[in-house]
Amino acid sequence: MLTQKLVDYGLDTHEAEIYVFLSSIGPAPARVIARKFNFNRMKAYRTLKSLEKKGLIQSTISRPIKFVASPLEAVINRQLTETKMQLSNMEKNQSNIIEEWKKIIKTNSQQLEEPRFRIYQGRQEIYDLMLQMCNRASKNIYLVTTVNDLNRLSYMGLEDQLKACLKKNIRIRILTDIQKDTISEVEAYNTSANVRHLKLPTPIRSLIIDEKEALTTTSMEESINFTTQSDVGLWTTASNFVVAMRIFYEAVWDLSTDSDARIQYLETGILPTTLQTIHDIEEGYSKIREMVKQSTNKLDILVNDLRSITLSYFDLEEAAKKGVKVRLLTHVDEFNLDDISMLSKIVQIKESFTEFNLELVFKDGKELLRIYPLSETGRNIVWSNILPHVETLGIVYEEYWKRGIELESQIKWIQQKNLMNTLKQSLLKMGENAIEKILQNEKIIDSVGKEHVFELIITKRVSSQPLCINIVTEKDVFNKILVLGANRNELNNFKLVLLSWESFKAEEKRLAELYRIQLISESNISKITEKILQL
Amino acid sequence: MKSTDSVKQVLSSIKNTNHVVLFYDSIQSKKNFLYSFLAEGLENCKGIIYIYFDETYDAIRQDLKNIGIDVEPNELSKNIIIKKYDEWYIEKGKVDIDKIMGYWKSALKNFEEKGLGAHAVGETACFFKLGKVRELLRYEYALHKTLDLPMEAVCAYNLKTVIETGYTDVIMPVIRAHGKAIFVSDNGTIIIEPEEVEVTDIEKLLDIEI
Repeated sequence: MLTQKLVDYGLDTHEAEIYVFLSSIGPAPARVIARKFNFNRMKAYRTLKSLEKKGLIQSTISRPIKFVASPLEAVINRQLTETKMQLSNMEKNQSNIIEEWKKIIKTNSQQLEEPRFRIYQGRQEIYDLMLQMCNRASKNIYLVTTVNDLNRLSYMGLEDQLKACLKKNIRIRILTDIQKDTISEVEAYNTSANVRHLKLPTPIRSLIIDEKEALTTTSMEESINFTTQSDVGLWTTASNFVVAMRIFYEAVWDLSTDSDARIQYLETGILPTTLQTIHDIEEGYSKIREMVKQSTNKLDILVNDLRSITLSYFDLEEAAKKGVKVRLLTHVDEFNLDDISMLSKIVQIKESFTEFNLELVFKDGKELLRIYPLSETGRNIVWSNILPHVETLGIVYEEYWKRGIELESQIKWIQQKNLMNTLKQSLLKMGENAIEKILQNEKIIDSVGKEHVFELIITKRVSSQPLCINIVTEKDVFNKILVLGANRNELNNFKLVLLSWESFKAEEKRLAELYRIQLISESNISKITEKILQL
Repeated sequence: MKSTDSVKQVLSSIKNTNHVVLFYDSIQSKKNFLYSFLAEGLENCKGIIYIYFDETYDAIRQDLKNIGIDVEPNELSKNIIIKKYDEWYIEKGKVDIDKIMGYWKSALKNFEEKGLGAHAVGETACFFKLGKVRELLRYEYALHKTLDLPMEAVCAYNLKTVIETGYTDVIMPVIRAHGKAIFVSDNGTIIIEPEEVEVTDIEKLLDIEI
């Protein structure tokens, strides 16, 4: 159609339609044009003036002014000549213009740094882009992708491209998921890049070039098909985005495993000697469970609260069934007493004397996991199989174990502590008139200003000497008498009482008398209450 | 029935080659017992040796004079030997058990030549204050419950020092290292005989080599 062809020669649609109309009807005033094309008079005039300016129509000297189409051949010839001249001028000025533009971009480089984003679809298109990006690299090439992808990229020439980059001293890093059946593919890249192992739960691909551009997958499938359209990536030069990706990459790089060490592990089953930092607490717990599962000989655990490391009875039972000797240092209290009692049938347990929030798990004396206390940087977890490191902390564990309290004593102490609460209630009830006040787990100050904590401090209405009562177990009674005895002279203003649910030995009674300490041994709360009220 | 004993009763129960531990709760109760023990020694033709830590040389000499002991001539004739802990137990910060045994043997030989027995007292608080408790236990067990040396020896432990330095748990092993344990306070004195315990158990418990 003629109208369309004229549009190709640079007219707009209305201009082309008016020219064709005037050519077919001959001279016509603006009013006729306006009516024909349903324009207002002003728009008709503007379009006609534009056509006149381009030399496509001419106006007649008449009233009203009429417009007539010029011969098309002349118009086209003139147009061609003008275009040719314009082209010739453009060619002539090309180098000058580029020079001038370069001057501008040197002084106004921000114009170039405007971030650009583009979605690339199709594997071929993405691979072409990746090769171009590598070609543009001047310092670093950071790639994370699957081994299958590396394999496909080999066919596209990535290996050779990387070798060339290496010659230009470009640092090349590749993170990929190395498995037993993909070792040879990875080894092919080992000569041109620093390759490390990273477990990739899903196929991903990212390529970061210097701090200038990055490509990241938005969807990727793992077939060998080079023409698939299911491969989609986002490419950008947005510096913030690129730098952020690079920071993530470097953080992940630090957590990854050296490819040689990984290959050695896959081929021999021997773990590389390393120290690994784990920042995610859940990952740490999962590592503990893995260590428990893999243990064959012994497990040594130090943990303030067994529940905090989410280690279950069944995990430890599994280990014990395999003949693994499990030692557990933890805090035993009235709330976990049932669990601990059940666990003690399969595990050797001691009450940990330390309040320091350090958690340690040793596997077979060869691996160690250490959970540091919560700090500003979160909870840091370190796993290591570096033998001197494991052995050094093993010595610390042994020392802690030696100083741990036997479970039996601890359980007895908890039971007695619970009874102390009952005793307090009984004293309040039976001694309502005689007792002024009862304090539990409070301190008193002796005559030289030293503090002493007692489990019960009873002030009677009629006596000026408060009763200071501590509970003792069969095992610690002798030492408890001596501890009080050593300070007896400074505690002369108090009546000191040691209470046991079991009877005292003759030598303990003599020692208590020497230091003027009252001993009460009864198993019945009412009788104990009566004896205390009589003191 | 009174369960505490008089100092005299307790002293009469200490015989030659007895290795005794004394726990005292105050300097005064220590003096009451130890000076009686030393005075009784001199009265019964025994030389006396005092290894001290709590007080000064001059203070001890004065105290001995105060209870009627003729200190100067006895010191000159070496019937009384008063030594500071760092001349006997912990020399230049080190505990050398063989050397300590050597000192005892040499002093006792000297007494023996004059026909004297020996009453010896050693204050042990220095081991606690200077962090040498494991060495002390090795030394105590090396002496054995019954001494191989011809003397009556009292190892004097300051109960407050033991407890305040955090070594309450070593009290029982210390008692077991001795044949008799004496406790003194302002309220009296008692003596108890420790139960028999295998040395190997102590070694395991304390991680020391005896």
